Amino acid sequence: MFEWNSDNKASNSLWFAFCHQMDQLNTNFDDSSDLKMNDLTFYNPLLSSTELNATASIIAVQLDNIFINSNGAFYENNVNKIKAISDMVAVLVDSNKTVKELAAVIDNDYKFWHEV
Amino acid sequence: MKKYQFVLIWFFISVSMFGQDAISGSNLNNLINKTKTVFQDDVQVEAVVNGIIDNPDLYNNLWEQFIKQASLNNGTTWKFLNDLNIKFKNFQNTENSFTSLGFTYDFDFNYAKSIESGHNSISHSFGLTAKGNVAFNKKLNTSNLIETNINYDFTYYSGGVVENSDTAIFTKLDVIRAKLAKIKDQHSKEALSLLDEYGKFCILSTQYYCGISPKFGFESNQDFTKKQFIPGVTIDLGVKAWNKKDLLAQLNILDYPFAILRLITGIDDNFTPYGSTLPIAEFTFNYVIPTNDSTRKSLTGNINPFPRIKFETGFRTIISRVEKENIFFSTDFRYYYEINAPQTIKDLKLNNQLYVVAALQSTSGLYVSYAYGKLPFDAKNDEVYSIGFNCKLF
Repeated sequence: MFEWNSDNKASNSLWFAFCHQMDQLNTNFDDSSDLKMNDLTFYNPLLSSTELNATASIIAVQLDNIFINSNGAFYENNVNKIKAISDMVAVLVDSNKTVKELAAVIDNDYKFWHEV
Repeated sequence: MKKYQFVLIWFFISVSMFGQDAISGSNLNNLINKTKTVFQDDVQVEAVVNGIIDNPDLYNNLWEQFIKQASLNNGTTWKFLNDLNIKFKNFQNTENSFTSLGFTYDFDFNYAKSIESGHNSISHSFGLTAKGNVAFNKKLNTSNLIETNINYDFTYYSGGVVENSDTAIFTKLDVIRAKLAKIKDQHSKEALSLLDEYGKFCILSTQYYCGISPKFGFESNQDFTKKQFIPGVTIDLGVKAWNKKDLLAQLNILDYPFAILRLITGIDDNFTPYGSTLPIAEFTFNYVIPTNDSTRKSLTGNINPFPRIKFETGFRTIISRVEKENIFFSTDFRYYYEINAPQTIKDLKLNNQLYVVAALQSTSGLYVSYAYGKLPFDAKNDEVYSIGFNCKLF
């Protein structure tokens, strides 16, 4: 069972990217786990599904960029860039999914720097 | 196609690919021989055998074994079969009690490849989906529609973050993130100091995005006497200035009024337009096949297909935060243009339609919205808000 806590690399990497690098949320770590996708800045409910999907893809690609190129993460076995991004997009376009649920998907697909 | 022909062809393929022992067609022969020992009369035997042949479970079991043997014998060649679901069943219409053996199929194949080159990333993905119902007696097919769709997506990304390969920096950034995650007030001196330190080692850059998605759909009945081709292509163009110091972020004038509100309400410590909210532009070319459009039929006398171009862009940004409530401003702009529209459609100015909607929304779901214009009839399902002011709690 995935747990949202500040020592979990997927949790704090996602929160930091959303809060301080991508302007998606402005809450502290503890208050961010239960935020839903439609609480994030990118999630414009007025968009058509195709445009929302494109927007979510950009967010997922930037998260992947940050994790791999800046944070030193790499993909878990049997995971590649396309799968990792596709998994994140599937959560990002679902208005009822939470930040914690997105972190769980990220935790499955990435091995973070110094992750035990 | 007669079911006997189908069974023979299938057995031939199965035996030639995997050997006779692999497929349990011999079980059927054994059953026939045993039946002959019970029933002396050939007519009775034929009736029993026909009953077995008409049973969908027989084919479902054979298909299951076929898939199993295929994956055991040559997993790579027949790997695509894992994406193919076939279910045999009996078809029966409501007019009489006759049934017909047949099958329903659902094929969903996806292939994707990503190519990295410096700061650029290109990915191709190909998808083929097909689904339909085939009855061996087509008159009894109550769902006589076969749909086939081919999707291809091309995406190009560039930039986003300056690449780092120093493992000591990875460790340093990892420690800072963990410290910041434990701080309640992200505007505190301690947090700001850590963020300054982080910014020295992690530099974000402007990200460019281009996506092209042609779509080719084909619909027909099972003998292809009625068919229609549904082409379309969508092009998305986007840019995100993730670094707030980037000139592009500073030039995001759409966000200026909201940057002022964020400064006044204390979300931001300085006037900071967000480059992350730069809108995406989407262009779509569609070949629209109207169904159920009584308005169009009354105006043009028919509901013939027609080509149409659509442009869409949207914008969303945060305005303020009150207690645990975020207040967002969202807007969406769509323009539809029908190519070579009939004169009656042009006279009523229905060949170009504009739809704009803007909304103030809070995290708990409270919203106020205003919409202008109309969506084309076939896109009504996309309509989120009606004209006027709405207040809705959900």
